[in-house]
Formats: sequence, C-alpha cells, structure tokens
Amino acid sequence: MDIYREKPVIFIFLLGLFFSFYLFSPEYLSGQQVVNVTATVATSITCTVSTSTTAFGTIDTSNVFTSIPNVTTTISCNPASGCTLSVRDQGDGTNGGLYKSTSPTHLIPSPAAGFPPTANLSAGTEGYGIQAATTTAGSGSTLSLNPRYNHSFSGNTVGGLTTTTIPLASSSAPTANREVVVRHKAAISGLTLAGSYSDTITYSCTSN
Amino acid sequence: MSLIFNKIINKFIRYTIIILIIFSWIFSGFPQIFNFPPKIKEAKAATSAFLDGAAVTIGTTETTIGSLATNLPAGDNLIIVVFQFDATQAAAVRTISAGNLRLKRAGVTLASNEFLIRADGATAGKKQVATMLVYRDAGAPANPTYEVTAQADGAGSQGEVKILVINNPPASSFADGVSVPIGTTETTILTHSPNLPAGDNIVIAIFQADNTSTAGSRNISAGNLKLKRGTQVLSSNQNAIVLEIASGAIRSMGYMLIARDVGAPANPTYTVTASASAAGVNGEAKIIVLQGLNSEFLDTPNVSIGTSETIIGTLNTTLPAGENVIIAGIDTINTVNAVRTINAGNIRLKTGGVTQSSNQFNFEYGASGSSFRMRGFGLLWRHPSAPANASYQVTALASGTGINGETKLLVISLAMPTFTQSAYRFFNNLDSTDVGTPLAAQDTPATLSSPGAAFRLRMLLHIGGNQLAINGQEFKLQFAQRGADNLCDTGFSGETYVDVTTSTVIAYNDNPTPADGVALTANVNDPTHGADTIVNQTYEELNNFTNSVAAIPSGQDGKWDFSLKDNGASANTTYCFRIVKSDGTLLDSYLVIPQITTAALSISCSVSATTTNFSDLSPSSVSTSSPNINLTITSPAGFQVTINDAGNGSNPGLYKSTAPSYLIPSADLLLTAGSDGYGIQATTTNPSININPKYNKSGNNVGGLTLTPQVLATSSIAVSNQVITIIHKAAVSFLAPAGSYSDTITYSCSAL
Repeated sequence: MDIYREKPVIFIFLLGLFFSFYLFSPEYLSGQQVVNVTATVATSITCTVSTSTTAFGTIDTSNVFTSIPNVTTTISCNPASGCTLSVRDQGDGTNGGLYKSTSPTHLIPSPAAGFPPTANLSAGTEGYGIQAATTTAGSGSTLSLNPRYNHSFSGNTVGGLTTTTIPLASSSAPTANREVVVRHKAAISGLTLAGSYSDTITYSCTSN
Repeated sequence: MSLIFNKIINKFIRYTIIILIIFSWIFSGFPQIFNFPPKIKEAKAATSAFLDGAAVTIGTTETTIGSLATNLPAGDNLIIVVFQFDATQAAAVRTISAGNLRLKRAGVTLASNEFLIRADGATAGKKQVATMLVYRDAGAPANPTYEVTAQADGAGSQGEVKILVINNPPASSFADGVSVPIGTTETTILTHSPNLPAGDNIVIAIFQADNTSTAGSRNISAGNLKLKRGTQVLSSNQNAIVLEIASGAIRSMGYMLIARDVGAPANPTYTVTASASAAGVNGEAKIIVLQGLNSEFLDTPNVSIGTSETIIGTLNTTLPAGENVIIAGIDTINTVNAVRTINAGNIRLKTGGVTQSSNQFNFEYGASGSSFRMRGFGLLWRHPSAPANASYQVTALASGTGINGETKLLVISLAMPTFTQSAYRFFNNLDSTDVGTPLAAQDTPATLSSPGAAFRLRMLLHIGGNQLAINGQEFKLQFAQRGADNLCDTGFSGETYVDVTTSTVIAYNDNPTPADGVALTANVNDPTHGADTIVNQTYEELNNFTNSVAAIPSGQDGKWDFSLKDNGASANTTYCFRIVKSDGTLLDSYLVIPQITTAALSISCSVSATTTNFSDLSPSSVSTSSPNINLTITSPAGFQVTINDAGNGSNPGLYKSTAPSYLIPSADLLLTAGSDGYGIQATTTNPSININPKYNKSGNNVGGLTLTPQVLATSSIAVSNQVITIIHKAAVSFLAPAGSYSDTITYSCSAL
C-alpha cells in the first residue's frame, strides 16, 4: 500500500515515531557490546594487638625480667608506599619508663638512666625497654624494624621507649597480616622503690 | 408463447453476460490465471541413418531400389542419395526418364531426377552412370522410411542406392531448382539465399546436366561448374563434364559439388553456375546448406589412378569421438585412348584400412577422345562410433592406367556438444540486463551483505565436441545448501540440489524492468574462461533457459545472467549452484561450483549501561558494582552471547594501570572479603536462554572472566527483547594497592 501517498499525515507520524524511537532509545548495538567496569580501592590500614596487657610480675635485682605475654601487632595496609607501625610510651608523662605513680613516685627509666636510645639491661641496674622481631606470617611487603628495637630476644639489649612516637616497623608497599612481636624487659636496682609500676604503650599504624 | 419468448430472452441474456465477462477478462489486462507447464525443450541432437543398398533389377514399373527404415526422431531430415545405374544385364540402352528416379517417403515423392538417366549395356564405356538426389524433409515424423524407386524403359537394368539421412541438423536449408539452359557463358542454374545467422556453412550442390543437342557432344569444362557465394567460387568441377550427343547414352550426368564456407555472413546467397561448350545443355541443381555442425573437408587435385589401390585423398580429422557422416563427391575421367574400367568395389571410402562404402557396379570409361570418358559419382557412409581424430580415405584402382580421379571429401561430426560449467562471478543486482559491482573476484565465493539481498550470478558453460545450435539445449539452474564437508565440490558430495524457483530459499528475483529470457548486457567484469570466445546469452528470472541468442561453437563459452535473491535462507549459510540439463541430467563436467553465503543473522543486542562501578572496594567486604548490566537480545533464530574482558592484557581482572600496577584477578571462585577476586554472575528469566553454568552463580560465587570469549548464554530459538542480567562482584586483599581500577568487558552476540 502506498501509504505515503494515500495517508501522508499517518506516514509522517510513523516516520517521526520511528526516528524518535531510534534517536532516543538506549544505545542500540548489534554484534559487540562493551561495558566498562570501574572500581576504587580505598586506603585501608589496620593494626591489631594480640593483647592489651602484659605483666612483669614481681621483679627484683637478681635478674633482668621479661613481661608475659609478648605483644604481637598484626599489620595490614594497602597504600602503595606501605605503612609504618609506631610506638609511643606514657612513662611518667615526661619520660618513658615504668612508672610508680603512687607516692613516693618513681620512674624506672627507659631504657636506662639518661634515656639513651638503647641499653643493655643488667640485674641490679634500673632499666626498661622493648625488643622487636618480625614473623613469617602475612603476605605482601615485609616489615623493616627500626634498629632501635631490633634486638635479639635472647639478649638484654632493649630500645628505649619515649613519650614521642617512634617508628617501630614499616613496609614499603601494601602488606597483609604481617606481625611484629614485642618483648618487654626490665631490671631494677637496690634503690628502686617497692610498689606497683605501670606503663601504657600505644601502637599506631599510618600510611607512608 | 410468452413462456417460449421468456426462455429465449433469458438464454440471450445469459450468453451475453458470459461473453461480456470473457471479453472483459481478455481485455482487462488481468494477469494470466494459470501458467500452463512450459513445453520441455528437448536437446536437438543431430543423428543420422544410412543405407548401403544392393544391386536391384529395375523393372518397367516403379521398382524399389532401396528402402531405409529409420528410427530417427521427428524433425528435419536432410537426405542425400547416390544412385548408380547399370545396363550391363540388359545389354541394351536403358533409360530412366526424368522424374522416374524418386526419393519418397510414405508414398510421396520428395525429389526426383530432373533429366533422363541413360546407360548402354551393349557398348563398352557406356554401361554405367550415376546421379544424386538431395532433399530437406522438414518436419518429418519419427521413424520415417525413405525409399528410392526407379522405373526404366525396358527390363534388365540394375540400380543401387546409398541413402544418408541427417536428422535434425542445428540449422539447414534447401532449394530445388528447375531445368535451366546453360549458355556458353556463365549461366546461373540456381540461386539460394538461406535465412541463416553468420557462421560456418556446409554447402552441398547436386547438379545434373543433360545434353539435348543433336548436333554433337557437349562439355562443361573443368572449373566451369561452380558453387559460389557472391563472386567467390567455393567449389567447382575438377574435370570436364563430358556429355554425349542427345542420341547417345551418356548424355546426362550427375555431379556433386561440396564446399565448406567458413565464416559465412548471415543470410548468404549461394549460386550454382555453369557454362557449356555449346548450346543445348540443360542444367538443374539442388542445394542444401547446413550450419552448426563440426566438419572437416578435403578438396583434392586430380590423382592418377593406378592399377593397384591408389589414394585419391586422405582426410585426417580432429573431430571428437562420436557419430560421423562422410560424403565424398568423386569425379573420374579417362585420359588415355583406350577403354578403362574401374571394377565394382574399387572406388572406396575407407577408414582404418577397411572399405566402408564403394561403387556397386563397374564404371567403364570411353577412350580419351570419346564423349563418354567422364563420370560424376559419390560415396556416402555413416560412421556411428568414430574414434576421435578419425581418418578417412578415398581410393581407387583401375583396369589400366590413365584414369584421373578427384574427390571432395566431407566429414561431418554429429557428436553431441559437451557442456562444462567453466566460470562464474557474483554481482550486485541492478534493475537491468546489466549487473552491478562484483561481489567477489571471478570463481570466488561471495557473501551477501544483508538478509534477503538480491544478487546476480553470471555463469559460463563451455561447449565442447560440437557446436551448440541456437536453442540447442535447455538447461536449468539448481542450488543446494553446502554439505557438512564445507565444500561446494564438483562431485556434489554432501549437497542435495534442487531447482531454483521463485519460492525456494534461494530464489529467482523478478526485477521490474528486464524480462526473463532477454539478451543480457555484457559487463566489463564478466567472467571469462581462458581465451575462449564468450557468446552472450540471456538474463534469467526463471528456469529453464537455453542459448536463445546465438549458437555457441565448440570451444567457446555461453554466458547467462541469473537474477537471484536470498528468499528467507538461513543466515550465514552457504549455498552452491550448478547448471543441469532441463531433464535433470548433469553436464559433462564441472570445473567450478559457485557458492554464496547469506548475510550473518541480524541479532540485536543492547546493554542498559556502558559503565558499572564498584565505588570503594575494601578488604572488609565483597562488593557488587552498580548498576547491574541488562543485556537485551532480539534474535530471529538461535544465538549465543560470548563475553571476554581486557584485564591487564595478559590476564583477566580488574586492573590498576597506574604505578604500582596491580590486577585483581578474575577466576571462578567464591569471593571472600580480604582476598582478591572478581567475576560475574548471569541470570535470566527466559527459560529458553541457557546461561553457561560457569556464570549461573549466586551469593558470592562468580564465574571468572577470560581474555578470550567464553559463552555466556545460548538459545536455540528466536527471542524478542529478552534480558540477561549481569552482576559484577569483586573483593580485594590488602595487597591490592589503593587506587583506581578498571576493566572492559565485551559482549558479543552472534548466530548459532
């Protein structure tokens, strides 16, 4: 039927309908269709500690004592440049150490008198600090320990804690479930006041 | 009375209405309402029949000399008769009066002698004479019987005939002249202008001369009996035709002129002319012209016939194997002053060293000074199963030396033409007898660009063996879907061919302007077959077809143009074509088989969005991108959808291309928070769409993407606007560096 001759209005309407449908329809393709998938992976850093308390028990001048348990921090982070686990000590609020806050107050200095970076603890001499080691757990970038704390657990050399934040370990790339084990050691002298001592150590993870 | 009147009125009205309806329909221009089956045109294969008669005593009443009962099909027959007359037994002069040597069919005389035929059985050198008859029996019935009869004026003479019938030559014509007085200057005996196309013609002129002069003998000198086209002499008498005085026995003579007029123009004019030594000679001629048959011809000079078998002429043909007919015009003359004889059986037509046809009776020749020293003669034979390149000889031996002999030896091949499908090319359609642009190179398969497309196929048939006369064979075009062997092979293995009609899936296409069967218009891109001459034929919109434009000589190719279309054929499907004879018989050989592939299925696929985003991926959870992608499919037949992704170019996955680059890999797995993984799930509500189990997952199970296409879904049936929903899921570990990731997923829809 020659509708364009016989019914011009209908024909123009149908023509317009067709082009409207064609022009405003969703993308109409035949053969291949392409879909772009996008995603943003957000920055994610987590640190968890294995315990929130560790205790030296009763200590005396006869030995260098180790708190129980050690504290393990598990680190995961995905920044491309990695992340850093840092440590900060409460001490007496001014200096790091184990602190007897009841009168008479007393601070077992960390790591030793004069607050050097490290000290080799010995029985009968006041001192307090930590040793750090990594495990094989986890994946991704391995952790590098700050030399201040990278001391063998079998020895008594410790790194001193401070009231300012000091890096403990770091990765150079994303890492997952990497562990840092911290051993706490202390020794007292004959002048160390008897009583209860405590300290609060804060671990934090930040993007590099 | 009133009742009768009313009946008459009613009857008149009824008939008037009927007549009005009939005439209204006739003149209305309404189309034909019933297409009567077209007459199937049988191939006009020339064939022949032959009789080599025996000696028959001729009575004074009509006596049958020879009868040839043929089993030839109905059609046009050319009959050539060589009659030898011998009066030896009578030992007296015997005469067959004019009109008493008759070629007859069913009691009807077709041709007869124009002049008397006479021999003198009592006089040496006058005892035998020969004459010939020809006739074109147009529209003869099947199985005709031809007989030659004679009636003499006294008892005791003998006759013998050889009758050769050529049935259904592709084209022929005939003229039968009347008695014409031959002057001493060139006199036209007969003019014949056949209505034939240009081509190679075979012309045979049978001439009879009769000397009516009582003053003396007459002769037509050598070369003065001529068969001509225009001024060109095609054939002439080698030796003088010598005729005795009217009272003599050898006063009349038959003579056969043969010519092969190669490259004759259309509608040529042939003449037979003669000039005599003096007045009194009458002449009459019959001419037959044949066209469309392969032939070879030898016109020899005079050869001195010895007393041992002497070769007058040898014709080594290059004709194909098959049926040949051989016509030899022979003239002999005695050049020595003594009677000479060629005994019965000693003028021979031979092949392979074997005599196939020869003179029934002796020929006696008067001495060189006599007026009965010359004879015209002829030999005929049918070689039903000649080998290729057959060789034929005319030989003779005489009682003594001095006889010269000459022959005009014609061999006509009646072998059937052979047909080879030799070349093709596909073109775009035009509403014209010309074609559009080529779809592919010559002899190269083509693919249609769209469903339902019209196209043209130009194809060549190479003719071998013998010329295909105009309208000489009807053919039809067939097609078949290509078989499982994926070959349109010349052995047709795996294909089942059927005739192309207007309703088959590959159908003839009716263009508005050109009509079926009109002459095609040649195109510069037409197929060729080596250096063969191409004889353009017709544009075809229907089966059958034939070479209605022109004959196709052997060694050349006919070209036809087929207007075709995809008439609902399966998509992306290949079809093969072949030409067969109209009765379904295969051609002799196929060098090429055209093949065309229909357009791929028109499947529409659309996606609801071209991007989907996971937003923030976190190790803490399995994420789903938003939005899901809906793939909407409409397909007129079965289809499949495949999927592949870009990944990082080496492996599939979500890829962070900026440093540090990173790939969240894609694999079939159960996604868990904190572990890298990425994939898709696919679902549909249409049960006829089968989702690949790899992707038919739920929860956090996903199917892995791949760089190479994987089947996502299939359907064996048509669907309309059916949706497949794609869900994209991913999870990351902490090892996936923060940043932007992306992937490109490609969905492909195609016919099954």
